Amino acid sequence: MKIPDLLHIRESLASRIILWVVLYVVIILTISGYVGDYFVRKFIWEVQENGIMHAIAARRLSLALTMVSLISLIVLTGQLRRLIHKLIDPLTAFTQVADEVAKGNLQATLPEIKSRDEMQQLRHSFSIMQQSLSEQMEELKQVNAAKGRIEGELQAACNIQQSMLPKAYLPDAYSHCLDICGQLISAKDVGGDLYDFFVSNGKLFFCIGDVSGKGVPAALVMAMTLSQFRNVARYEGNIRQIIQSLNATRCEGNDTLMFVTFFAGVLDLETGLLQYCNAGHNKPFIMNGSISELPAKPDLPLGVSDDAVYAVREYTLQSDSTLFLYTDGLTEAMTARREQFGRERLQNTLRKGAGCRELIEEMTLAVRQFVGDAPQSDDLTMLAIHWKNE
Amino acid sequence: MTTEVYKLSEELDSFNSQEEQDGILAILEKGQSVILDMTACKYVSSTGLRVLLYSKKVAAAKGLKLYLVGVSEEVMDIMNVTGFDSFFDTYRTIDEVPR
Repeated sequence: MKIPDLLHIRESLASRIILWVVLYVVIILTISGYVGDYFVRKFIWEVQENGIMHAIAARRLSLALTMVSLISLIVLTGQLRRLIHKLIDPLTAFTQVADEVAKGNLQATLPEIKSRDEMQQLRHSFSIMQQSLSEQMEELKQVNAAKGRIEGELQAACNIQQSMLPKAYLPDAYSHCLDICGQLISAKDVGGDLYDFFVSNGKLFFCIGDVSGKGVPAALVMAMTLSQFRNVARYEGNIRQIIQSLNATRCEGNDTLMFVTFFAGVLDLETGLLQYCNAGHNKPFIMNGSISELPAKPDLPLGVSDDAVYAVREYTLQSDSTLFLYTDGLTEAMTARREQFGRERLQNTLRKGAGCRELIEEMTLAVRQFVGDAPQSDDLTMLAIHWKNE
Repeated sequence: MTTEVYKLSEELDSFNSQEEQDGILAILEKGQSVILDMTACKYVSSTGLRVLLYSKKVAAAKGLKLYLVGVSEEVMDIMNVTGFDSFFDTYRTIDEVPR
């Protein structure tokens, strides 16, 4: 095997440097050795043969040899310097490229490396890194664009959900005896809470509900349930039939078992007779001087069992009564320390007594103040209905 | 009918629902009814209720049973409020479960 191959000269800058230094030292030592040796011997001989004067004359040759060694010293030093620069300069160039890339210029050009040693490897690795960074940035850009699109779509879906919900009772033939206000603030863009109300043939149909779960899946079930309630209640006056119809639909093909807690009622606007069904929902509060919960022991939520039986209850409202319906997003609203708003605070706020809109605004404010900076964890939904006998 | 006991942890919500569901289903797959030991469980979210609901449906489909044992006051409250109290077979202790 040839010695250069053994030391991997072509692939190793370190080996090249070592070889040059060794060569350097060897040459210096050799020359100095020869010169020294020759000079001493010659001088002694001259002194012996021809005396001191002649000996000094002989020094001129040694001097010449000394000059030669000095020149080769300079040349070799020059070579070493060249070699060291060959090492340092590319590193400086790489440093500059790294700075460029850090600033965001991923296309910065790498220095040319002609050798096949560690420098070439460094260049190769650098090149791969630049390539990889470039690809990752591209991917990130695409992911962000997709995210932006989804957020846009969710916002649009949120708008659709909000437009499905009636906000306030518009003045009509029953404005003298009826006032209603509803509000839904969803935790994410789209949510699973719902409510509805409308007047038909002297009767107020209303409902409130909560789909188990959050986000897009719950929103889909919410939309289906809401539109079905509206459709069925417009021609079916019997509250039990309405609920059973909704339950049957919810149970069909309910692979993901998304159930819906639901409260629906019909209020006769002339007599104040309220007929209602409670499918696993929070009992509404009734206010008429005092505050109490409507007697409404919950039956199974919608979508649990197609055999479920729903009891219809009746309650006659006193004149100037307010019915307050809500979902558990209100009572379970939490502070950062996981303390819940609860039914007591809810009742205390109800005690302040107000018109429907003011009541809901008061309640929303009370919850916001209680929760503080903690993020909203569930949809906040309320429906207030005020009836007077006139 | 053979039964096997499965103990639920302190909470049944979206974080551990999949794990607990898999545990219960594993027992049903073996053809055994499940006695769900709920003595440690203090809270069940709506996701948790869906786990119980689904378990009961799978059990019923296989002709098996799901018994809830040692349901705490807090969880019973949750079930009362959501109308689920009469839907599940609940017992105070394991001994009360019909074998």
